[in-house]
Amino acid sequence: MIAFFSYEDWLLSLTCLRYHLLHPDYLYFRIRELQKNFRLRIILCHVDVEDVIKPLLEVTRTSLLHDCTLLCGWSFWQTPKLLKFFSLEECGRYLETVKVYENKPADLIQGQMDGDYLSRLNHALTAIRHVNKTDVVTLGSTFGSLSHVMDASMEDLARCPGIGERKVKRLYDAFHEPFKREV
Amino acid sequence: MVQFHEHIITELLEDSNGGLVVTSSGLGLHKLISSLFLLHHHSQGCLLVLSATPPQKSSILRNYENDIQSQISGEVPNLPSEITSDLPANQRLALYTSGGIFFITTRILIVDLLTHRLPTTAVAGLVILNAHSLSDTSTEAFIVRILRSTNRSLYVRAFSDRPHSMVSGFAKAERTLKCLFVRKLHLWPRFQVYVAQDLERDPPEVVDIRVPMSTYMIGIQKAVIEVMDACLKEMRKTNKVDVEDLTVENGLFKSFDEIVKRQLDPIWHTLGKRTKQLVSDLKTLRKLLDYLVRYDAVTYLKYLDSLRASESFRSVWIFAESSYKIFEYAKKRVYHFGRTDSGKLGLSKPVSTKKRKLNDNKKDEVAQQCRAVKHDIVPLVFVCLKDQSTSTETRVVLEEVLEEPPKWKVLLDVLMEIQEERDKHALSGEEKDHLGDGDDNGIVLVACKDEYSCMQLEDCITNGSQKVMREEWEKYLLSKVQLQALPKRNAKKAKEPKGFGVLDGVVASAPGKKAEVSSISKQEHDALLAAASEVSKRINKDIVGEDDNQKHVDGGGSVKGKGKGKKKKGSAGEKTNNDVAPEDDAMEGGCLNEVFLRKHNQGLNAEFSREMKKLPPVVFYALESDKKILDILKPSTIIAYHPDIAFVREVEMYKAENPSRKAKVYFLFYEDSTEVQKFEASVRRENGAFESLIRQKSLMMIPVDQDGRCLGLDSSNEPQSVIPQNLITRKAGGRREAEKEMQVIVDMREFMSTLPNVLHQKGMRIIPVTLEVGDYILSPLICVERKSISDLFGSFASGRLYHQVEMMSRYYRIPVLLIEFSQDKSFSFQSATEIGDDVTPNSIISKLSLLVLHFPRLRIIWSRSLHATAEIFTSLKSNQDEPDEVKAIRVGVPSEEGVIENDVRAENYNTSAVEMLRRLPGVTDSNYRAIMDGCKSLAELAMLPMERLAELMGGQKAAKMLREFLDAKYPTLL
Repeated sequence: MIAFFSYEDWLLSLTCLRYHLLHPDYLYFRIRELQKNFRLRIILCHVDVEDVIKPLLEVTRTSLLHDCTLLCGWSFWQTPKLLKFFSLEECGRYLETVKVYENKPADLIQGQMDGDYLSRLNHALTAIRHVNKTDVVTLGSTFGSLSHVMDASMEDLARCPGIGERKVKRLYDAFHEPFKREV
Repeated sequence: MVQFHEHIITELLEDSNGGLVVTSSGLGLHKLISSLFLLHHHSQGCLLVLSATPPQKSSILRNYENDIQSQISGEVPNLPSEITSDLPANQRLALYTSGGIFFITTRILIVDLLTHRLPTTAVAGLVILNAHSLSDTSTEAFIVRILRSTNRSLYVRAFSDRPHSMVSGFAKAERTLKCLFVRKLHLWPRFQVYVAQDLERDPPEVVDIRVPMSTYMIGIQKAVIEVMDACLKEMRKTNKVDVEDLTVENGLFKSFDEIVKRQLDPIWHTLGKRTKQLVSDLKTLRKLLDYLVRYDAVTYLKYLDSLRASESFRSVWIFAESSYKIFEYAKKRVYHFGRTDSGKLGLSKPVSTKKRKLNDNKKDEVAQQCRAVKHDIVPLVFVCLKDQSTSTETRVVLEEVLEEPPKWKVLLDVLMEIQEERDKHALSGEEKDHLGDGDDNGIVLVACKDEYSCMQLEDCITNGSQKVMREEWEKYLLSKVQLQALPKRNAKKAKEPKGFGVLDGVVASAPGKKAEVSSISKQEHDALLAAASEVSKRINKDIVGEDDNQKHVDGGGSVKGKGKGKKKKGSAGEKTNNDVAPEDDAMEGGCLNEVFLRKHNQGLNAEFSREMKKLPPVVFYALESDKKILDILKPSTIIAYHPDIAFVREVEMYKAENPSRKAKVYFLFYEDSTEVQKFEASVRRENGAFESLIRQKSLMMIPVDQDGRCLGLDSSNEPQSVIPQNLITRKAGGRREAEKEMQVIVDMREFMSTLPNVLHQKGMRIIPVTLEVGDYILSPLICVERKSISDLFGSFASGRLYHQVEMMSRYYRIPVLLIEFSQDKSFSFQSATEIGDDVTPNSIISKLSLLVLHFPRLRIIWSRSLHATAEIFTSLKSNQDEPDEVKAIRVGVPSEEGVIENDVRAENYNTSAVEMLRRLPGVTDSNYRAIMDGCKSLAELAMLPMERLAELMGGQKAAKMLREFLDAKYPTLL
């Protein structure tokens, strides 16, 4: 009843609530057997009973306690020509999607960004806390380009109107401190 | 104050716990509440008023001020004020303890209660308006539960004037009583003895005028009802809904949607497209019926046109046989087409001018006929237009019909009649004294449904109804021109020809016509366009005309002038169709013509307005604005242009309160229309609701404790904190150890939702704080972001969810996304048909998968309902430590040095630098790690040459993008 699909660094196990109601412990035991060396462990749960609250609570709890991500799918009709699990339209689609998107960047869910220079610059510089849009304008017009902003000295930064002592330090640290701290 | 209000108040005060009052609509709840305010004294504690809408607030306040002024008392009670979130906390506390009366939002009140900022003993009582919208999970219920648990002397007085909403759902009245912890239900229907006595002692004089509808209106109404009936029959066939409630009569009300929705929502995902479409079609049809009696012919046609353009082809009703009639009749009310042979058109100019004169005569006739209600269609002006673009053999004649709504004339009649009567009185001098004492200011109040009809009617009685129709017609034509964007000879901005749009499609798609339909419709269409372009030309020239001759005298008459001059203009313009040179002449001619016509019209207008001067002062009032205007204006005559049950009661109340004042009420109904049906049905419905409430009241079971207090909904589940401390000591010195109380930290903003209430019901302690990260903190490890379904879609689109999850996973071991479905909706994301054949980036499945892939530590909770969520929370917390409030607040908020506590990454990474790097163009999730390995800091990155960048980023393109962005010249400010 439970199917496993494991790939390089992720694993997906398929279950359904009806089966869970019959064998409440099964999921737990199977998960416990799993090795820890998967980066992502997904439990794909097919919702196929009317009264979902109790079984779903148990499945949720189990997956949460055993470091698994729970996804739910609902099936609507059976398409017997495909593999058995693909008759579960939505669940099948999840499996398919996860596989296809394995290496896809997250742009799709990061929200659309305006393409023009100013908004991109805004977006980049405001990653540093407490830097606001006015500061971006000040920095941009003072130093002329982003590379010059990044290379500016503490004194130069401090000379900008509206950028106080703390903000100067924050900016300077962001630009000059190494990405990775030596531990 | 009317007597039955006193009765209501005495009954309400009998029980110190308070009660729930349900009255018929329009029985002056605001007055009742303001009289309750008078009884309040600040020594009792403060009185909090919950869930009042802004119009309710203002009418209560105004009434209260009046009451105070009329009262002779030494001390001036402080006026009720509003507590909003803008007030700082300490100021709020000062207000609470001052013992005044306050309007307060539930969100602030609940937060202040949970943080113990508001001492519960400081509250004397609660007044809750709109009690029909309460449920046991609403915040009001939460507030009452908390207050009740510690403050035993608290009273709760809840009010509702929508009895039909009180009976929707199972035992709603009983549940509402329980969630408010009150026992008494007071019902005050209009048919109650005291109410009836008061209101019928000296009832206003009523004149019921039934206005016959025009034949086309009757036709449209019949057609719409036919279609509606067909849709309902279709719906019954689906076997998914309880057929009993599905009648055309019910279909007239908004609540019909609710009936259908309540039945269909739980199984919505299993419904086919057709059923769903039927539900929305019924809604559209209901609107069509409503607008038929509210809008004028042109506006109605415009609405239909846009409906046809926007309605998808899936619509069932649009293709029904009767629907064709709707469109056809609606069009016929505005214009219709005839054909003439070409010979006649040579004479068109003189003929049409003659016609005009004829029409002017006719208009006078019309003015006289105004008193006669009977005649339906006023043929106004016939405009013959040469069909420029197409053939020369057949001409299509566009005849404007511009049928006026029959009520307009009747309204004018009534107004004149009123004036005549007054004149008579004034002459005879009988009532002089009465008028002299300022009691009767002679204002006539006309009550319409919406602001739009108010404006239109006002225009109508000042400028004449024909002019209003003409303006609407011109607007309609102009909007057509804008849609079509015809190339115009003297157009200042060149517009591109777009081909034939809406109207063409509209006419052509009408089913059941003969074979030549397309050619006819084409001609119709062209003629319409021609007419439209004439109008727009006219307006363009008008502007020119205004520029160079200043003879333009009267702004008010100008539009009429436009209309009149139109014919002349049109033919003049056509003559010069092909050559541009004489156009200026023609234009001047046109202008002259126009000026002449204007003068002519001014005469007419002056005559018209002289006639109008005889009208009494009229005030228009839109029922939708929900202002209690009767008490301010004190009108002597009221015309209910769109009769409405609540307004009728208000008039009755007004008369009962001012028995000395004369009040005459005119009702304008369309005979045999759905308007009448709807009015009568609303009375029946209300009475039915009260009967059912009375029955429910007799059967109700309210659990009561030994002091006679209501125990509320589920007393067994009462939170532990409610049990007074000494109870533990009473039990053998606390032998049974007090159970560990569960705590949940909740973000302030979450109090808009009802989950905190349900959690509290489950016995958890709720700590409201402002959280930077997450919505609920269950334990030091678990942080939950709650998303309802619509939220989920929205925050995926905006990218907010990504950011929120990122923050959560940065600061908490177990970041959780809670996807919460709503109890009464189906438990699924989408219906089967919405899953396409392929993986598409826009589907929710794709987005969720992507989120899961990017945040492997993210846990997802799928919750069926609020209560299921609460259960899951309890289960998750069971083996976890309690969360720390102080820590939770600090999470995500950087300290002075900019270092964020508990930041897993902050120890190893320069987080703001990494964040900024990832936001640079060309940098992606796959190459940013390589960049970080290859260069030390952002400053170093800024100096790297292209080649090195390409090496690090794994591609020339990305490197070029980044390099260009870094070196791009910042645009100067000027």
